[in-house]
Amino acid sequence: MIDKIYLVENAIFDIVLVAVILLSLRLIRRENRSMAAVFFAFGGVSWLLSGIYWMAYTFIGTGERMPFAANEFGEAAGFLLYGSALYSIAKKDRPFWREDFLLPLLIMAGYMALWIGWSGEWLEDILTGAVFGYYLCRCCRALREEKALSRAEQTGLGALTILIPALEGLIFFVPEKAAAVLDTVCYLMMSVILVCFLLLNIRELRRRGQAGRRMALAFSLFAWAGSCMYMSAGIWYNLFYFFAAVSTVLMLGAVQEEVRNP
Amino acid sequence: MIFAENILVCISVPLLLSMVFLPRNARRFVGAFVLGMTVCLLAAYIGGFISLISGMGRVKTSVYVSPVIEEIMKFLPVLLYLFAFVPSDGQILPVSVGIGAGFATFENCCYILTSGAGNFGYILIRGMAVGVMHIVSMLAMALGLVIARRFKVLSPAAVLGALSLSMMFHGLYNLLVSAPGMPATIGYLLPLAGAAMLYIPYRHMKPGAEAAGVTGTEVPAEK
Repeated sequence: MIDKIYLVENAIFDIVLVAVILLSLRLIRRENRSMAAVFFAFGGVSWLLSGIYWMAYTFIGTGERMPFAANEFGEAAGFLLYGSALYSIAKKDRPFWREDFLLPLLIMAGYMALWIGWSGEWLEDILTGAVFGYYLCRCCRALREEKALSRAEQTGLGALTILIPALEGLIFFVPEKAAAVLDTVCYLMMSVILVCFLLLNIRELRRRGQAGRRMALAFSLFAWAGSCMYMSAGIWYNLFYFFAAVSTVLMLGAVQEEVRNP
Repeated sequence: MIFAENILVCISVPLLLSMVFLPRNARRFVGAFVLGMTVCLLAAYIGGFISLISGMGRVKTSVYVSPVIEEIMKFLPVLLYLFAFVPSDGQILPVSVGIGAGFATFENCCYILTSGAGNFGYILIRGMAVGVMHIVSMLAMALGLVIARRFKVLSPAAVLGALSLSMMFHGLYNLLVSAPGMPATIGYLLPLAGAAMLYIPYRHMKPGAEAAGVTGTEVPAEK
């Protein structure tokens, strides 16, 4: 049942991506200032190809777990190219702050340890972790540079994002009943952060805020939706996948704004 | 068993000789074409080696591992050319296309020698699909590099992103054509769809800007 939901969601996400890519390509063709749009369009193509690959494997494959395959590289390309889209709006003369990579590094280390603990797929998890870490760094830098979050929001969201992998790690060591409770708490915390990011995006939209800030928030929402997806299973995965599709639309809006009114 | 090295020598020698009599631009393309064929042979060696040590078998290797190896092997000469010779945008794209075309040609030659060329329809489809696929994946990669360099965002992330995108494209093609029926048909159409999609950014970037005296390194950054 959940697999079928995922298949439908994947198809919907792919349709959203096709629309997003076409609109980005139109943006590239019409506007002169289109660097972010170029990277965004190529990133969208990577995600689309990865989604199609997964669907094709599901229909063609033998039902066994997909081996380390090209779609991992598609997802990696998606993160790298979205990260490059953020880099294209970054202030190049400003050096990286320590905070830009400290928090993502900490979170990524936690995630990678958890992924390896869950699946045992070292190569796959280290590759994805490294690339995803880069994307998180870019998001953190963009959030700070664009002053997209207040001090309180930064502290609250930062603390929660660190707490989640720590709690998930605890699950390995506690009895089954406590593990189930912890698991639910983690999912709820993930959802809270996701909703927070969504509300921040909506607030910025209503304010008609700066394009860069909108981009930072929308790309961060996607990053968090991706993190949640990689840490979840079953119906939760489906829920977070839906948020990823929503964030893609918000990202397109932000990129359009950045290209038209930088 | 075919003797791929001998085939490579047989095809390369006349091409290499012809380079002496060709103008500079054509010589560059022919050189890239021969390089593409050589890279194809090296990729086959590495693929065979990985197939042996991983125990994945020929089919699984060709579906899951080959796209990664082949794209990395095609990418390395372009990367070397980009950083060692600092060519203009108008020079990178023909070299990339040459490597892709050489790769596809050699792969097709070996396929024909292994499986025969009796079925003209299939050979035509394969020629168009594999030929276009290798060219499209190389063009996507080169276009990514050109765009990144032109806007001074040629970071490792952009380079690896372009490489991963071409791997993904190649991997999807291999997966689809590995299954008979509808998936294979979609697979054969995929390169053409990719070529159509690349057309807009290709036109937008105007890689022929070199003709107007503008090179990739001279174009000012947008931001």
